[in-house]
Amino acid sequence: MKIAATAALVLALAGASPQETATVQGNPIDHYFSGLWNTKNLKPAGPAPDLIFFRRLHIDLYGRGPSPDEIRAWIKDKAPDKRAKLVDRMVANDECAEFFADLWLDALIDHSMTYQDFLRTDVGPLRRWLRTSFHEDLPYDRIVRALLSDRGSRRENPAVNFSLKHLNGDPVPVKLATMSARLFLGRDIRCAQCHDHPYTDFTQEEFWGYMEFFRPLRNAGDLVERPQPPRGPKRLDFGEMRDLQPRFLDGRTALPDKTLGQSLAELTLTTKDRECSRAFVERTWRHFFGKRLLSTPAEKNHDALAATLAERFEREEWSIRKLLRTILTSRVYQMDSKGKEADRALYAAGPLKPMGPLQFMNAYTNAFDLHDEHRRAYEKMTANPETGEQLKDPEVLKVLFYTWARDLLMPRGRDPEEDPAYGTPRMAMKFMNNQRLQSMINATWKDSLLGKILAKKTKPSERIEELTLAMLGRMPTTWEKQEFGEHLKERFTFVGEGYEDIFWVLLNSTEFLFIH
Amino acid sequence: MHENCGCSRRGFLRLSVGMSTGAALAAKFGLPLLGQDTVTAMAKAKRCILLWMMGAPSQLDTWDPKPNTETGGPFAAIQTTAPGIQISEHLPLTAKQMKHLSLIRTVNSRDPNHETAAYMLHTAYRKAADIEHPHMGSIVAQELGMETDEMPPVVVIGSGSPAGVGYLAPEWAPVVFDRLSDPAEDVLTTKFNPRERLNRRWRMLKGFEYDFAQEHEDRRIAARQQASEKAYKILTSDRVKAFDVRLEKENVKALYGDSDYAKAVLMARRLVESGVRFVEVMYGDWDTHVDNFGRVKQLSTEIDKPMAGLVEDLERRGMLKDTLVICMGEFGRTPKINASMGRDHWTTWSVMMGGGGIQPGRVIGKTDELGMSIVDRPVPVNDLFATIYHAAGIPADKKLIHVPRPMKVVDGGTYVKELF
Repeated sequence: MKIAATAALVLALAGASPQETATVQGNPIDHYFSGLWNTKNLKPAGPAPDLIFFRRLHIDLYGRGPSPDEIRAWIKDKAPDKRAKLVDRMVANDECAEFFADLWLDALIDHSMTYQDFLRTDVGPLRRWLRTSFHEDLPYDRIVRALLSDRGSRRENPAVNFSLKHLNGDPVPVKLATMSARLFLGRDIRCAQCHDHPYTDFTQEEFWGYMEFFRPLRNAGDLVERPQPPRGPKRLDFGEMRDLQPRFLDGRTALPDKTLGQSLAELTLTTKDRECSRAFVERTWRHFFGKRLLSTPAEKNHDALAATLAERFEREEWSIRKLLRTILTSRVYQMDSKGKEADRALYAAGPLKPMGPLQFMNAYTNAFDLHDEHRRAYEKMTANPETGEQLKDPEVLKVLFYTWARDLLMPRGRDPEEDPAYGTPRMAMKFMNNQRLQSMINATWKDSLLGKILAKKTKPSERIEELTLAMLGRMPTTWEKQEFGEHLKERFTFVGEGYEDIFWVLLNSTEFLFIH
Repeated sequence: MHENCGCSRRGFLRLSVGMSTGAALAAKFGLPLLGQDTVTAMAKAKRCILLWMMGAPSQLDTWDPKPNTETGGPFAAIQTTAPGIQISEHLPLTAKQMKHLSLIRTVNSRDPNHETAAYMLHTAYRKAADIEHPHMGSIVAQELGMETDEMPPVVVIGSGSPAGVGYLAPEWAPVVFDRLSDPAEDVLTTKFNPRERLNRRWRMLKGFEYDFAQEHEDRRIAARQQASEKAYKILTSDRVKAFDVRLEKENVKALYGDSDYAKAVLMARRLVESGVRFVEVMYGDWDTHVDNFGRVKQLSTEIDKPMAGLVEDLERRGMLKDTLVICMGEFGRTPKINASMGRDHWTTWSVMMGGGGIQPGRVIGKTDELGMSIVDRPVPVNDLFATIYHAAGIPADKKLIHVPRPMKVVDGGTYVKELF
């Protein structure tokens, strides 16, 4: 059995897995890019090695790397269509639903939750609702309708918490309107609050017309509408406002026989260019490929493909799971990420991106085996009678972790939507030298990841292999086996010191932080 | 279009007003007319320490006392070493250093909300939906340039700094050490990771990194590796000892005292001495809606010795002339004393500044005898920031970026000329 496993490993390492990539014929993504490669005379990369693909899929779908045991089971699997089966199995798994709920929640809260935000909203029910929705593959348009039109109790109608989070007492809920345009239409309308948009034909008046859909909303514990007096002609920063009826960004007015929220949702979901589905496709694409699919004023991208995928997404009844499957079974997603940046820009090499904050937090928690510690900290917090009720919902635990991790990961003041995290000197210093973390890289401490590995395996080569699998999701290379092996032969003051060094190197490596 | 040529009508007017003022001053003092470059060359401040007082200290019980009035509260005012300047009796050591310092007693804004005001008093801008403004330290560091690549250019000690690097490049991001009690735990050598072990690990990491970076050509990978290089450089540099206040001479430590705050302020001096451009130390909770006098007395006592020690130490080392020291909070507190013997939010307050070319012993602005209104020389927040930047030779109207929209260092402020 051991021999068979080793043989499979050799194959996997050589990138010569016996089965061809399990891509679906007629995949619109592959169709689009093969045309592009032909015109540019580019030779696309081959499929990613099996274990690299396995890790990529785990971090992208579950937000965490695979465990050594999962990797071994995967190596043993000899089915010719094992990649396709894996994709099917993983997108339907509850872990995938949970991670996508967290990703989406993170976007909904604009990547930040202050203590006040936790009190002002009920994040627990919102997260639970998102999790269930993703698990049941609730059509995305229904999710959007709930987020834009639900009103009332923040516990019974969890979607209202999106609005509550952004109703921060401003007399005019600008933040909520700009967030809604960004999330559900992929449009940045922020400039137009104060002046006509400099690069598009979007005007300040249109901004304030759109604003009217949100103006009556108030956070009164629950989400309520309070009719506001109509605005007369009034100077708003620079412009003279006139017609201030609710008016959608494309000029359509509120629909008769519908509430303001229902109108807004309906208009959002039915624009001429399918902006809502396109924005979701774009967000999903960026998650998997780490770059934009749609063009910006500064760069030309692949708008035609975005339009195709958006049309297909709607035709497949807004099924997020089907959209994921289309992307994940494409040859482009499954390609080897090695190569030149210029090739990767044209998708002739596979996806490569730094982990997002949520993925990073999980990697960090796993590497230090902090699950128990986090739970204890949370239990301590919830045992405190002064802690708000909202924070006691177990769903909140993960949200708090992510909030804590973000400060470590991101340079403060950067927009996480614009600038993926790739680490700062501050973070590197922490990981290289923080007293507490260093004390936790401890070979003699049986509960640490390293301690567990040393207890489980005895031979140095097996320990090196287990460590590399746990941290990087792959087998050690020849260089690593040799270099790490040599290192372990040095004289140390205590047994395990050499392993701690190896763990430190893996933890501080670029590969640990990137999804390749 | 206007923005590109820099000659919009408003810009032109400002330019001509500025010139005529400059010309008038030059004539008055018989100086040659100076251009912008010369002004920069004359700037004194090469580094800055911001003592941030979180929660907004009561100006009437610190820098702008009104003893024996209905609003003045129970504290007495004491004479300082600066002729004519009195401050609260609970800042006696600072009073002795006042000959090196100046006060602006009429800083004012319209924002009584902690979160947004603290943002404004770190960035010179109101919080906006579409852009994050940089921490003033990041601007100072970028404009003055790195003094060394072995230290971070901006350091914040304490948690909750309301601003980050904003739209500037990540290299200018404040490096935040959020625990006042042990801020240096990430940088100092410990038994878990002595230097020879760090060096050994780093060598192995360099070898390990080689293949991955070679095989994956990518800007973000390069950036991540640069961040690691920088971190390693800092950790193994001799300058990192600046973070270790234990190494300071006993007689110097004695100037500051030995509270956590004292050590953090001492660390700030050690850091600017070792090439950090800007250090902020956050302290407080000065939000004294209840028991204002008990708490302000307590807090004043806590900050007095470290603050006075810092000024004296900088002066002794000859560093005060090019180190700007600022002590401020996000707004002030009501002259009226509330039913809980507290003071509430108020948008006129005092800022202490010294060193870095600021003329010592001056008081700018005057509030009335009850502290209710400004009777002379109001200094809006933009002017305060123009003054801070002017001390460092940075023109307030310099445009830092043009996209997504042009952003100036300060949106229309004039520095307080009486302080230079």
